[in-house]
Amino acid sequence: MTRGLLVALVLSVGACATVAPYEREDLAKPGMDLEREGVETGFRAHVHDAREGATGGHGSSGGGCGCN
Amino acid sequence: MLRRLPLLFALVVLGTAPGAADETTGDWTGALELRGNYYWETSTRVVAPSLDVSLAAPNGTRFGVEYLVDAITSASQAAGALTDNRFTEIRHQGSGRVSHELELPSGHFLTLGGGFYASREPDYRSGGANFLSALSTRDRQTTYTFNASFLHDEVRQLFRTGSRVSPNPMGGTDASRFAKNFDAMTLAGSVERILTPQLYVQGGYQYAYLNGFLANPYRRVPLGDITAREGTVTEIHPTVRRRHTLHARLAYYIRATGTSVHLAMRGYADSWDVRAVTPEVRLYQELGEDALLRLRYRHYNQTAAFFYQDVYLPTEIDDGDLATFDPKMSRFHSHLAGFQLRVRGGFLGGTVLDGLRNATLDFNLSYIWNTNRFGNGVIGSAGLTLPF
Repeated sequence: MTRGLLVALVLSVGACATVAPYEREDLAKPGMDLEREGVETGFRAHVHDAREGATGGHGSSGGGCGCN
Repeated sequence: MLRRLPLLFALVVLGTAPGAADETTGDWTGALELRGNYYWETSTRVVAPSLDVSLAAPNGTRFGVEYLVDAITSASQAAGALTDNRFTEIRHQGSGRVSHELELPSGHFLTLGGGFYASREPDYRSGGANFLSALSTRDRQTTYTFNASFLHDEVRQLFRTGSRVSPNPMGGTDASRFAKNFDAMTLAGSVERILTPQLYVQGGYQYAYLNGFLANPYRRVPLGDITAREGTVTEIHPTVRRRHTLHARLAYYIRATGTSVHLAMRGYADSWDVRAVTPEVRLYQELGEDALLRLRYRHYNQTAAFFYQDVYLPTEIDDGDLATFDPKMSRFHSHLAGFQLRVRGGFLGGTVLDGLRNATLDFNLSYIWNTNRFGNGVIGSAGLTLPF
């Protein structure tokens, strides 16, 4: 599944359709913008870092909790 | 000094911002976010209030500061002790960030920025800095980002039970003798691309290199099985760890129902032979003008580190050999299900609380079913965001 998603991602990034700024109203909907969840995501990522062997993908590098 | 850095940064940013805002006709915007975070599991409870302030200047410069306090109680078993000695520990964390967006002659936008991070608790200090850059092309249809961060951690021990006996003999019986450090460097790159008016994708890679003391100074590794303990040895992990993370996300908006769907996948591998996959699904459902419901499911599945064993026999191991009693070094999986309800104060417009019409209140609750010794857990938080 990981490979499939990555292949789809690479192919889609290479696509050349242009979406004009005035067509992006839906992309600005609250449910599409994860930036506004940044602070909440930070604490949750810290919990996952402290309880799981894997990390990354959310901007964290570990540390600060003796959890490496 | 590390403890004072966030305060100094906040004073500088908050102290100079109002003056600059006046000079630029008051066109600054920003937000204040107050949040209470909570985590519970069998041996650990964490209460962590936080405060985050962000400011955006009309010229494209953004500032931000965050301060968080962790109050961790009854964490000894989770920290590695074989018996549950209750204690409470306070951790302070502060961070600051600044970035500026430049419009290039080609019509592209380049954002450069950086920040710092500092965390301090009685037996652990951590500090770091990061650099970020983002290049947006074709009217921001595609954005490439590159981040680098550096981290330095200092690990110490405390006599938590008042016994005056070091919880781990590595440093002798004097806490001041136990002084270990580790350093980490992270490099990350990602690309985000708008594909249609309702669809965007995002993907990236992160590499992390850790070097130093990477075990837990309190944790002892029991010998023999649980029915016949035959002493303990010191937990020792390798001193170098290389981590690789691939991640991808797809977000799609369904206009007919006001629903946003996010599909994400993370693949992870490191030099300790830990492999993990983390698929995740999120649904955001608009509920009228001012409310948003988020449903989330996340699965996590990992393999064990190469030096992890369910049982270490005394005949097979000596003190000084690689050994671990860390549950997150074992093979395990977890399921997380949660929801968030976010409500904007638009319905307060025209009332005595009109000043809160742009404020947002959110409640979050997640439950984790975990198959390792940490057991199941609950993550909760409530936040209030006040834009200005």
